[in-house]
Amino acid sequence: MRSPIFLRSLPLLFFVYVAHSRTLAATQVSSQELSQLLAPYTQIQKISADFNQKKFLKDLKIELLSNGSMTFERPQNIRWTIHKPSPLEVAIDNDKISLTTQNGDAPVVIPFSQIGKNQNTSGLSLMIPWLAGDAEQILKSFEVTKEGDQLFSLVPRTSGSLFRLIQIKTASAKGKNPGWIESLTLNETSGDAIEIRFKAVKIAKTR
Amino acid sequence: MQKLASFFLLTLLVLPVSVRALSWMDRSHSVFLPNSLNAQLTMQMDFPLFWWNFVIIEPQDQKPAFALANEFCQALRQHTTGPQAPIKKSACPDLSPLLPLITSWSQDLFSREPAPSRVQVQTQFSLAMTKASQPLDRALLDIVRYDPMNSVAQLQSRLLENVSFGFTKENGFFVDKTTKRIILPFQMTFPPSDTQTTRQIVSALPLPPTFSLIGPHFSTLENEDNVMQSLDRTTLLGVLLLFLQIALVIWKRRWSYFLLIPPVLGGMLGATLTTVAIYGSIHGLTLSLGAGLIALALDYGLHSAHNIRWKGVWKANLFGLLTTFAGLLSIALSDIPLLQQMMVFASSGLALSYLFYYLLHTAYPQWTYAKPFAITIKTHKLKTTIALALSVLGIICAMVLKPDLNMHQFDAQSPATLEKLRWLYSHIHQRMPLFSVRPLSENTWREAEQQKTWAQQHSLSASNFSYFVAPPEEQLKNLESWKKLCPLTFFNNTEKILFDPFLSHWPCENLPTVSLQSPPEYIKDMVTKTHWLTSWFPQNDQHIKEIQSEDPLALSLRELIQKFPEILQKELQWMLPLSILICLALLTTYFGFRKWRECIICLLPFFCGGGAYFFCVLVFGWSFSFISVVALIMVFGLSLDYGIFAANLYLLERPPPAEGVWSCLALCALITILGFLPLAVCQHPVLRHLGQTLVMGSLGTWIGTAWGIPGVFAWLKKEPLL
Repeated sequence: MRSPIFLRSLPLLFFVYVAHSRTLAATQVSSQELSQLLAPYTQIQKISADFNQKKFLKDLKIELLSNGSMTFERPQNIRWTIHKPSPLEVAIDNDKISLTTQNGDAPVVIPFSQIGKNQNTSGLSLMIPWLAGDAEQILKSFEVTKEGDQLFSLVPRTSGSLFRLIQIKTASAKGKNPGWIESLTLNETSGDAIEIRFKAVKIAKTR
Repeated sequence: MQKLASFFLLTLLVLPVSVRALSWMDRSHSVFLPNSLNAQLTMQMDFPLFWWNFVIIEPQDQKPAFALANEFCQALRQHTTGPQAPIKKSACPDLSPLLPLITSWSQDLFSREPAPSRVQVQTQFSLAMTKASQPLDRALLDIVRYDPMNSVAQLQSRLLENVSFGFTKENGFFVDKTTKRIILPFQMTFPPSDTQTTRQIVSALPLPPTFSLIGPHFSTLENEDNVMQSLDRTTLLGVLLLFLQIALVIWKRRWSYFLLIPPVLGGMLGATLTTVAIYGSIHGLTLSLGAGLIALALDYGLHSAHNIRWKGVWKANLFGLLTTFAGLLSIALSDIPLLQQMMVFASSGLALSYLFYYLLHTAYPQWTYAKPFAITIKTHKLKTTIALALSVLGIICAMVLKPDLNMHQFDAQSPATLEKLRWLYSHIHQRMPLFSVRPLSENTWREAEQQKTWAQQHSLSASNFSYFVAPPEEQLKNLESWKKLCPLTFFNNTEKILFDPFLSHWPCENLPTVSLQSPPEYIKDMVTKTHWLTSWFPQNDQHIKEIQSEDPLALSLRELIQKFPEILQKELQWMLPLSILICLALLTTYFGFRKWRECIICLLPFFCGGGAYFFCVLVFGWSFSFISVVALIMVFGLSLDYGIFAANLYLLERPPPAEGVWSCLALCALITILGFLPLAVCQHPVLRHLGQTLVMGSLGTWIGTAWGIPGVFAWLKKEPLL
């Protein structure tokens, strides 16, 4: 027996509703709003946190798991230390990025000026303006929309970027570190995606 | 007769147009170099190492134009994919075109190096896994997947070891700090001689407005374009001047002059067929320049037409032809293919034209007769003095002035391109590398290893395939050591999937060694199917001496090209004296041995022609190149005709009528000057030098003939000069 047309159309209607509600819910964030949102970050001198990272490789259908810790120190110093699968430290300061392994090789230091456009859009370099509370810098590179109380979507303004969409989920206002990045999802243009979840956040504020 | 004239006119119009479309017409510029040199250069140019080119992007608003450079790279990328891609790799920030190189290097790790311990392998894989888990674009992820042992770092250091670029890297591009120019190297997959493909690339790339394409491919293309442009201009101007002459003939109603054209056309046709039969093709320059030489046969036609009733006319013509041959013959013995071909073309054309004239003029003297102009040549002190002064100048300059034998003067690239080339090379901080090429043989591995060992012992920088590939027996040992780590159970499933492109080559069953017959991507720049290349990087002159004592074949490209003038210098030492000796022998045969002193006077037009040309060299700064020397030898050939015809008036017992001789010579000089004038305004230096020398040489020849010979004979006979 054929199902009524209403029942057959139900999934489609549901999809249209969800898409419509998402459109309605997503609102573009202005420079002022973003500055207000990032205001707490301007008082931060240093942040450290542990993280668990999961990278999904779409074509190979595998997940690469890693974990480590990160430290951000004003003005633009970020240290990203991976503990597993193998120790690797990525450090970014004002004008260079350095990679250090524990296999005895000398650290590889690359000035930002030498890195091509596509390689300069790593998640780390994105985090710096966010953690520094630099709303203008973020809006210069991304179109930011708010998709709920704690979820923000960042879409690169220029084509050819490594990322198609970046989603930042901030901690609840009722939590221990309100407004702090709770998780970060980096959706690459290739279809691969990286999800980073932060925990054990320690914040040292400026005096 | 008018119908006949229209037919020839039409033929002349159609000939240059149809010739351009013929498949047997060679347009390459390799004919400028001797075969031995060409072979050496071609051999070197067969190696992809010499297929690197550069685009220089000018700054915009005094800042490096990164946006334009990125746009260029995107377009370049479309030409780097697929087996038939014309561009192999580039220094664009996009790494994907380098993947085949990195892949082949990584796969051959098993044969190149002995296996590390299992723990070391696991550590490297773990680190590669960490890298892969970071945000990476697809090309970088692929590099990690194909090369988990990170051998690419080793490849990079070996490739860049001998490269010293005076540019900084900004946004992934090479940038010159001072000029803010972006320099983007890219390598082709085909040799520079394939100008058709280069032309396709140039038209397909969306080049920025302020760019320069430089390198072997674009130099070859620009040179070839200039040759063709010069040919087009020469042909057009030549046809225009021919029409002018024809118009003059029609205006003066001297219809018999039209009968001077068929024998020359017949000679050109016969010469073309002869040249194609001998060489398989005929170069455009041979056709263009050689036609001018064949047109010198008009001398004999005009001489006969104006002196048809004089019995000695064909004997004089024959000796004129033979002396011209003497000049051409010595050039034909040159090592330069273009000159050889041109002289074969000209000699056969002249001989055939002579034959056709003889048959026509003896069979139909009433049709071919041309009434002489009322030209009388009077001896004049000043004119004779000028002719003699020019002759003395010619002799002195020929002995004192040294021709500029530098090959770079024939580089027909635009001054802007040459300036960019000089600028680029000034930023490559190293001495000119030396290259040696050897055929592949069973001793190749040993020879290459010996070179490497010798270079290391003498602390010299060098590169050949042995720097990248282990010898066969060592390869087998290395493969065995990796095999001992099989089965690969110590990798987890994620590692097996992620690093499958590398692990699938692990030599657990097969032990594939690297062979030079099918060289891997990373040594393709230095190994072809038949030869292998060694590059030496000397730091000082002492190094060069040491290297050349160890490897006598090692030469820089500049040295290789400069070998050409050396060969030419040797040729020049015998070319002119040989021509003069043969001609003097012919002249004494013609006039009689007793008149050998008078025979020397027949050389006066040539010395005067040389003097007129050297006058321009000294006063107007014209170039005196080896092409000018070759052209002077051609002037020598034609000037003797003038010398013989004019001397006949004073040396023969039954001389020809003076009006007939001077009418013939005046017309010959005019036609010759007009014939070579198009070459003198060519852009291509080779053609320009040739044209300038021939025009001034012909003018000087006429001065020497009309002003010099009568005066000198009058002086010998002690007759008064005006």
